[in-house]
Amino acid sequence: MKHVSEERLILARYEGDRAATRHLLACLSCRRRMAELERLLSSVDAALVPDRGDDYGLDVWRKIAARLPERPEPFWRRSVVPPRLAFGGALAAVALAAFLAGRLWRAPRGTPATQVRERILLVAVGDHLDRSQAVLIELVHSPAPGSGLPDPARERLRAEELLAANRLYRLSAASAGETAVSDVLEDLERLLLEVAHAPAPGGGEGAESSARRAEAEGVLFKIRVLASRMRQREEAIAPRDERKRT
Amino acid sequence: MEGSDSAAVARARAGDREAFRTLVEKHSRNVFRLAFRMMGNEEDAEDVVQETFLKAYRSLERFAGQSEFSTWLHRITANCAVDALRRRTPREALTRPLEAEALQAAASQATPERAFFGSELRERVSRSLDGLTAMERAAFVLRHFEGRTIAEIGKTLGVRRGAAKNCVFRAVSKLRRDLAPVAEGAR
Repeated sequence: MKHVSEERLILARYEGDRAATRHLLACLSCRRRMAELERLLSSVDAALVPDRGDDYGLDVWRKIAARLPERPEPFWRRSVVPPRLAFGGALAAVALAAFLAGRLWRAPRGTPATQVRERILLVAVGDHLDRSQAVLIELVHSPAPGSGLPDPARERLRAEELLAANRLYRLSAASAGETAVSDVLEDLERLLLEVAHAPAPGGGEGAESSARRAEAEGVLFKIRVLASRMRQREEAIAPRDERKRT
Repeated sequence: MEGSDSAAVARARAGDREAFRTLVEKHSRNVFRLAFRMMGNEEDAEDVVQETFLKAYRSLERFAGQSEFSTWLHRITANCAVDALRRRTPREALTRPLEAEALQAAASQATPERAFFGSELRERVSRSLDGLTAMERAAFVLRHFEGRTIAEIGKTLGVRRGAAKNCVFRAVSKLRRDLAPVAEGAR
């Protein structure tokens, strides 16, 4: 009787092999070899994989966010030259927000240079609103009333990141007389503060979470309206520049 | 492709970093699991995880959406790990040979000797896996731990089916040679 080769035995173990199986049924020696192989492979299973917690994905994101290359802008922003903010680099975002908000909103209006600056600012604030929307959408769609946020630690961190930039934009908008912008940013700031300082899960914060979700819905709507208006302003500025170039 | 992944991939491709962030958060643990099994230690596995996501982000345009995003990511992880294994300074696979007789004796006794045997076995397995070539290790991990077929392994590693089959065979043969006395002790 021709025995099953080692290679075939190994492959039969993983992929299945009818002829080899038939032989094993009839051959005690090959059955012993297969049992030995099974023992060996089960000893390999002893190698354990260290557990990674629920926040592991966020840790990975923090490590790679600053190293991600730029990608093409969303279609509605492709005609301008925005200094896109890296979401993960909160410090850089705040510094840029301070620079843009202080420098641009206080500049005299009407000159071409001011229009370009205004476009840059609109894009920067647009970015900020986009990121805020993402946080609020998660807040609004968190699993069930009373169950808290989907991932409180992550939401808190994101809210903290947005908070400082939001404050700068709001103050600058207010001092520039952009009351519609500063009002919405004020509502957003209040909500971000609540999220950033939300209690840890399990603290009986069910009612608070529901209220926060309801408030987030309202602010989300206002942000969408504001973002839409800012896009319109941005588009209104772009053609004027192009006409002047031709 | 999973519904939520397909939407996030499309948004990430259009430049939405938040969308890519959700993909990173969703798939990191699975990517780490494969990376750890391929690399055998946490530090190298972490490097592979980061490299995988950076590569995925840079290659999003090339993701055709014909397979699941997770499968595509899995393939990138395996290839990043193979590259890292190839770059790794060759170590002595068995720098501290374990005495098979001692292991067998420990295995046949009750705890704490048996607990000692368990930890020694894990170490021995880990060092035996370190003794495989990059392709052998990748093929074996994909077959044994991840349950991939030989055809899938070939596709993932960019080799013919026959070559993938050979890698699995060679890996098991080497492990068998290395671990047979230990496995015998575990009976």
